[in-house]
Amino acid sequence: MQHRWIVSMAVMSALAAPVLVQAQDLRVSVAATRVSAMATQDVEVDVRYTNESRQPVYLYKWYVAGNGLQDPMFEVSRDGKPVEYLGPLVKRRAPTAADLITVRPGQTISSRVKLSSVYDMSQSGSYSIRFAADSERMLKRPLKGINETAAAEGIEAAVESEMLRSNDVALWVEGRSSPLLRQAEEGRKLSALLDRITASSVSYASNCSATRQSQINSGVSAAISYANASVSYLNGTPSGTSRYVTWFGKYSSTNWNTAKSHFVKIKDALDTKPLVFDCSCTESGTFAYVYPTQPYKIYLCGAYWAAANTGTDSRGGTIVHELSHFNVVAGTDDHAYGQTAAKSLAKKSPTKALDNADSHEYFTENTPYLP
Amino acid sequence: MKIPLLIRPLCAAGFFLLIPLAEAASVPMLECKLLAPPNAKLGQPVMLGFSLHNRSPQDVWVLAWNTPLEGLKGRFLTVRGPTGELAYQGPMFKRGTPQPVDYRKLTAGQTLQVEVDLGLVYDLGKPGPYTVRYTGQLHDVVLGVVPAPGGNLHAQPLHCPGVAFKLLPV
Repeated sequence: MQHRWIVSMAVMSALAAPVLVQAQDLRVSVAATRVSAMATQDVEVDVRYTNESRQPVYLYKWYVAGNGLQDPMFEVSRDGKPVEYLGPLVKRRAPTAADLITVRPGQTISSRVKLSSVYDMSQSGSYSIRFAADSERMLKRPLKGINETAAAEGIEAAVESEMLRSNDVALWVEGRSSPLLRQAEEGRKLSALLDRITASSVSYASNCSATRQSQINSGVSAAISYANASVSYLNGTPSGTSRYVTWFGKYSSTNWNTAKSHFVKIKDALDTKPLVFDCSCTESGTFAYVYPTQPYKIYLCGAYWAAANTGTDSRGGTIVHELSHFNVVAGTDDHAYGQTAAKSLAKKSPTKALDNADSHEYFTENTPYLP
Repeated sequence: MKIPLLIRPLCAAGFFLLIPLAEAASVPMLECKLLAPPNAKLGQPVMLGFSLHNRSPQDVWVLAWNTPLEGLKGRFLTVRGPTGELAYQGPMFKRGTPQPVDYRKLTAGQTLQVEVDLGLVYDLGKPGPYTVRYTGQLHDVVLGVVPAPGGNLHAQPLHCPGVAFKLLPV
């Protein structure tokens, strides 16, 4: 009797004892399907999971993501800087055996993953990609002699929490847009606008009607996303890109940094400063004006209300133009008006182009698009 | 680049020929002057004169934007006082498409002259020497014909010698 009791105790303790599944049990490697990807080509990698232990390893099936990533399980960087994961983060019910894929000792399973739809690859550059996930979230290894269902639903086998990383693959990617990227931008715009409104940092003079206020909000929202995009563009690798050269003239790293510092200040004004809008100006041939010594009050005129929210000479661009005039922002002048004159100014005098409000506006509006 | 010996003197001659040609091309058809009284009393208006003379044999339309021809509505002057450069306190405009009314016509040989009160947009509150330089340009110049609305702007440099004046304590 006592003997049987001892035996069952032993079985119980054997069952309860944590058996470690270690990260090195599973080797993950990635390989790109091409060495470079044009804007029209998907960026895909093949992920291979190899069980290097002597026991089966059970992998949650969402890590063998044949049809779309549901977790940020890759570390993707462009020119050394991490890029954003835009895909879903899925909250799952408690997993069952049906959620596990068995990788037998020595076996390799692979899956092809499309990364360009879920990581921000809007900028051209040299991308580095590797798989990286916490082994605790990836793996499950049941005890010997227990069937898979019991293993999945019953006793927990301990998995050592450790980052499981693959090799790095490098490839050149041409910048592209994606539906998720556009949605993320919309979301960021909305969130930035909500932040501004809740912080009450946009105010209107009493001469702004409700319609005007809404047209101001649309302009501010567009200006915020323009400034964010310009800062992120200028945070990229400095070079004589056609967008930069068209609006600011011959490339030099000093001039690039000047442009960058201007947009950082414009973004800061939009993010943190109390903007005041006045609607009293009625001149139909004028978009807006400011007194450069009086930040951050912007007087909006007839052409502003008639303008589109984005694009050339838009509401968003006008607000960027006006902010650039403030001495505490970039202290720009009006050396040239209009795209033709601004392009010619860039060719003749990069210094003046960097001091010209419309050059900043056309750079940020980037219409027509230049890489 | 290797130039055959025989041609070298010709190249040099060409070089000297090019200089007067380039100078001729840069002779402005518009002559600009800034005018200021040599002395003014502190607290009194300081009227800056701006004159534009058409030296060409044809009519010239000049876009008045950011020139004294439309008043002080932009930062196109650099004013230095006894304590250094003065901040421009006036407005700066983002313009739409220019209309014919935004141009000033100068017939052949005509001179346009306007005056602006510098004290409206610069703080002339200290006695001492001041200098004014014109650092803007003409945003558009149209020759011979009435400017059509909606065309591209062709900016032209405008060389205007600077002026100096002194503000005397009261």
